[in-house]
Formats: sequence, structure tokens, C-alpha cells
Amino acid sequence: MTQSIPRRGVLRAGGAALLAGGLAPAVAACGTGIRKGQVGGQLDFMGSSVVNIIQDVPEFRTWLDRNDVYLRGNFPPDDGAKIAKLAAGGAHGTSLVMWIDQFRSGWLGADVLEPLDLGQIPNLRNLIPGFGGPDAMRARKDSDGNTVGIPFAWNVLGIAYDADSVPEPASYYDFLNPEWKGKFTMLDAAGAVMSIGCQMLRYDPATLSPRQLDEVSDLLARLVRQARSLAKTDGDSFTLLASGEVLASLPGTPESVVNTAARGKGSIRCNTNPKEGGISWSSMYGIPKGAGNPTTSHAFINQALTVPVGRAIARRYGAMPSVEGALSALPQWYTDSVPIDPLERTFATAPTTYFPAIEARTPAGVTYRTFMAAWQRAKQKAGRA
Amino acid sequence: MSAPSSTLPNHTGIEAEARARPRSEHRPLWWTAPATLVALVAFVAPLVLVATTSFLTDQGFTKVVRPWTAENYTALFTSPALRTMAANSVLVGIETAVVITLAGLALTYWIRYRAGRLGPLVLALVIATMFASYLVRIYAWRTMLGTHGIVNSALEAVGIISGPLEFLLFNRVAVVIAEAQLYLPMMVLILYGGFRPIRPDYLEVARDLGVSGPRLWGRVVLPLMARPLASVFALSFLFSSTDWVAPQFLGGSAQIMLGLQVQHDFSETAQWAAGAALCLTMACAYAVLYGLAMLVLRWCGAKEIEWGAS
Repeated sequence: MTQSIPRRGVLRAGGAALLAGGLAPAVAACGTGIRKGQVGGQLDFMGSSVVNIIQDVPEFRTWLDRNDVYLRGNFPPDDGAKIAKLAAGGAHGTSLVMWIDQFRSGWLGADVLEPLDLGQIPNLRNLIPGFGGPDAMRARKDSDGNTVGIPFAWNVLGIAYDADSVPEPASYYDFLNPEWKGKFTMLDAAGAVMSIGCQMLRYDPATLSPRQLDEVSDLLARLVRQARSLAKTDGDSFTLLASGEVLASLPGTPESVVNTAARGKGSIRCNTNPKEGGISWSSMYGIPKGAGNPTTSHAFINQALTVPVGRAIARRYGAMPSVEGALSALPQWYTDSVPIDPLERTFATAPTTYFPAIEARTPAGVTYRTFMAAWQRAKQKAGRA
Repeated sequence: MSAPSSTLPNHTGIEAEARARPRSEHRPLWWTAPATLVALVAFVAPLVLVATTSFLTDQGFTKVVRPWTAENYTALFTSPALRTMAANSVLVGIETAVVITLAGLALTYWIRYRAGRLGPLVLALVIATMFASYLVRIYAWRTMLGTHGIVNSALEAVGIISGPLEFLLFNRVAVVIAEAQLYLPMMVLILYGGFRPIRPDYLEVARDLGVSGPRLWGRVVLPLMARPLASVFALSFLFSSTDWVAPQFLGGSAQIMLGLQVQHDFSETAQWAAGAALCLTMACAYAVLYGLAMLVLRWCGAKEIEWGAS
């Protein structure tokens, strides 16, 4: 005998299920149960895989466990995507960001960074004095002089190549030669490639004229035509290098060396000082405006500026850590490529170049947006050839 | 209903439904309110928002402001780059749609009429490929088509080639292959649904009447399958020509497509007005193409199959 369920019963059951289903996210949205000013709870980190390196450090792990801090990472492909995400949706779901100082005008123009409370970061005393050079020091502050970024690493752009297969490319212009056609990948990241284009033509990105911007775009279009592929992310370019699909990556970083080695390819090297000179940037921590749980974000930054974390970054990130006492952990292949003594000279050899402001200086001037869009134009030009 | 309940037959679900039917046919219009609300919120409102945004002015990083302008559309239609991107997208879309339609038709026909007891198993396996992540499948194609990939290694091992074939990856061929594999399972389902009402004995009857081989296909199978085939072609074209992930990971450095431009506008430079104008233009273009396809079908006299017991 079958027993039919009355319609009213179905409606009641459905209503109860709906209520239960709706209550769970509602309760979750009410917060993590952490009181204001207390360290703990979930920390949403918008950054890069560096978070995995940090989490593996035993001392850091202990700190996370002791304070019941749960890290949850999300990795947008570049700073442009991060700014767009925060500008569009606010800080909901993001407690901490990793940002690159080259994109300073974008971050500050979009007004998405919160001034940091330096009193909550006593480990700032561990920072290497003058880290990144004078320009980099200024780039960490907003127009009111508030600090909005704390550097944890200094990185340098160059050319990553397979030393077993090709001689070291000495210049970015080498890639315009026919023998390089179809043998390298270009990173499809506007900031990085536009920096290289400007460096090749000896233009300062921050003060480009529209004519100069066109020249940069044309030059990059020529490089795109030569390239075998455009790698969407750093990780993608590491995979292409490690698999032997390409023999070089433009740009490459010392990070390429350590990551391809982790993928079983030990012959990738990086020329960080091509004829046109190196380009550097600082990777920084920041807190987005309106982020929930800022106390824990500050505590995270403070804990990430300890020597054990700095040493892990030195060993595994392929970049120079900002923490004094961690430099000795840099592997020899890194210091062979990027001499670190004296540091002032290193920072001067590969200065940081900054991108144009959000608002142009003249009505027809180059803005941050037109600067980034020029890379897209370069790809379009390459496609029309 | 005034009949006493004792005179009614047992209250089975079917009978209850049958009794309820006449009343449901006269349900007031407000019964559609929930569905209308969902449609308004999920479809109409976003479309209106996109349309409105497309006539505003970008002010950087997702900010769009007045004045109202048609500048975004003017820029689109006067841009030679857009023509290149549109041509690339249409080419990839057509090639993928042709591959999927032909391969899907052959595979589904085999599953429906030739595979016997293997049919359901093969169908399940085809559908099971959809359970793998989209990105994993794209990377799998890299592994297969790469310089040191499975295809090149196999061809080299049997001595067909002496060096790797580099044209297999990072070009339109790779994009079309991957797109075809990505969407084929879904399209096989649609085609299978189209073949279901065409019972094997219909085809037997046709053969008994002397129609076989290409004539069977031309006069029986294809006319009956015209609408599912058109749907499959249109959907494959739509999905593949607007995709940006496969072209990004498998296309060459010069394979820029409309989907990539949309991604660039919304994510990299956050020019929402420009991105919205491109999206709306693409949507209108696809609507026009769909309308044309339906007109062609009507002109050809293609009709819906009446569902019956199969």
C-alpha cells in the first residue's frame, strides 16, 4: 500500500529545508565568532602560491594553530585582476592581499587599500633598512603618507632559458631574431611585458607619451609574432619551460628556476641583467579597505616578517626576502644570478619602474588603463599580421 | 465536486492528478509569478544592467559614469582589431561546430542503432568525461599534443616522423580539437535525445522500401534530425566561439578571440562599459545568427519529431 504525501506536508518539508539551507550561510555571514581586536578565525588571502611556502614553516604553522587562524588562499592571475575584484565587490571575502608596488597607481587610484597600523607590526624592525631602494620605500605609502604595503620580497625580471639547449640570451632584442621564432613563451601579463617593452626602448612607463606607448605596443607585437605561446600565469610559463615545450620565457624570474627545478627540470637559468638592464619590484602585504578581521591580518603580517619565514622565502620563492637575517639562506644559484653584496648596488642595478597614474597628466596623456590596454593592442596587432 | 467520497474509486496519484487537471488549466496568471520573478532577476535584470553600462563612460577600475555615450560601440565597430578577433572567433566556432556535429552524429547513430548492449555503456563513458575539470581536460590536450607529447612520441616511435610536429599545439588546430572534445559529450546527449523517438524499425521499413545508404541518410535520418542537429551546431558554435580558456592555453600567440577581449575588459583593465558593449554586441550577433538558422530550417521544411513510445 502506498501512502501519498499531502501537498501541505510537502510544502512544510520544503519550507523547513529552505530555512535550514538559508540559515547556515546566514550564520556564517554573521562572522567567525572572533571578537574585535582578537586574533583568530578565517583569513582570506588574495595572493600567490607564496602562502603555501609560508604555511609550511613550522614556526608559522604553530602560530596559526595556537591562534586558531585558518588560511584560505585565492590566486587571481595578476594585480589588475585583484584590483578589479576588490573595486567591484569590496573586501568581502578578502582579509589580506599580496600586491606589487609597480601597480601602486592602480591600487591607490582604485582606493582599495587600508592604511596599516604599524603599531600592530612590531616585527617591522626585522626589515632590511632601505629595502628595495628609495623609490620602493616611497611606493609603500599613499598620498597622505600612510603605509599601505609591507614588503616581504624583492623580485627581479629577466629572461629564463634552458641552459642545456640554448646559450644565454643577452638581450630582449635577441628574441626578434629568426632563430628564436616559435621557441619561447611570453607571459600574458600586461604589467610585466609592458615593463619590458619600455625597458627595451628606454622609456619610463610612468611618463610615457601616447606616441611612445604606440612604439612600445608595436615592439611587443613583433615579439608576440615570434613567440610560440602566451602563458596566462607564471605557473603556466614554468610548466612550459619544464616540459621542454619552449626554451625560454619572456620575462622570466629567478622564480622560474626554482619552480622548474621542482617540476624536474634542473637546467633552467635566469639572466636578470640583460643588456637593457633588469627591472625589479617588491611584493607586499596589504589590507583591503573594509576587510573583516584586520587584527588577524596585522598579526599575520607581523608573523610573516620573522626570520624563519624569511629564510623559507629565500630558499623556495626565488626572490630576495625583506627580513634581515634571512639573506644567508638564499641559494647559490640565486646569488650567482643576483649578486647581493652590496644590496644598494643590487637595488640600483635593477630599479623598480612604476606604471602611469590613473588620471593622465594631460588630456591626451597615457593613463594606467591605456598603458595596460596597450598590451592587448599589441596582441591584436600581432594577430592581424 | 459534490460526489460523496465513498463513491470515488481509490485515491491513486494518477486519478488525483486527473481530477486536478481541469482546475489547473484555469489557474490565474499569478501562478507564473515565481517563474517570472526568477526570469526577471536572473536574466532580464543582468541584461538591462549590461545594456545600461555599455552606454556609460569608463572611469577606470569598474567605475562607470555619465555622460551617456555610444562611444563604446563606435570604438567597437571602427576597430580593425575587432574584425580580426571576430574572424578568429567565427572561424574557430564554425570549425568546432562542424567537427562536433559530424562526430556527434556518427557516434550517436552508432550508440543508438549499432552498439547493441554496449550502447548505454558507451553513452555513459562519453558523458563521464564531462565530470573531469574543464581545465584538466585542456591541460591533458597539452600533454597529448605537445612537442614531447603522446601523439608526437607515438608517431616518432613507429617511425612516421623524424622530429616532433610543432603545428599540433598553440594554434587554431589545437583549440578546435580541445573545444570539440570539451563539448562533444553534451552534444551527444542532445543528439541521442533526437534519435530516441526514431525507432530502429522505422529505418528497417525505409530499407525494406529500397532506401538505403546515403539516400537513407538524406531522405530519412537527416530530415528527422534537422532540429537537433541545428541545435547542436548552434550551441557548439556559441560555446566555442566565445570561450577564452582553451584559446588562452592552447591557442598560439596570435590567436586572440572575442572571449579573450571580454576577459581583458572585465578583469585586466576593468573597463566595464567597453566590455559590456562588446558582450551586448556579441549577444545580438548570436541572436541574429540563431534567428537566421531557424528561418533556414523553416524554409527547408524541417519539423519537430512527434514523441511517441519508442
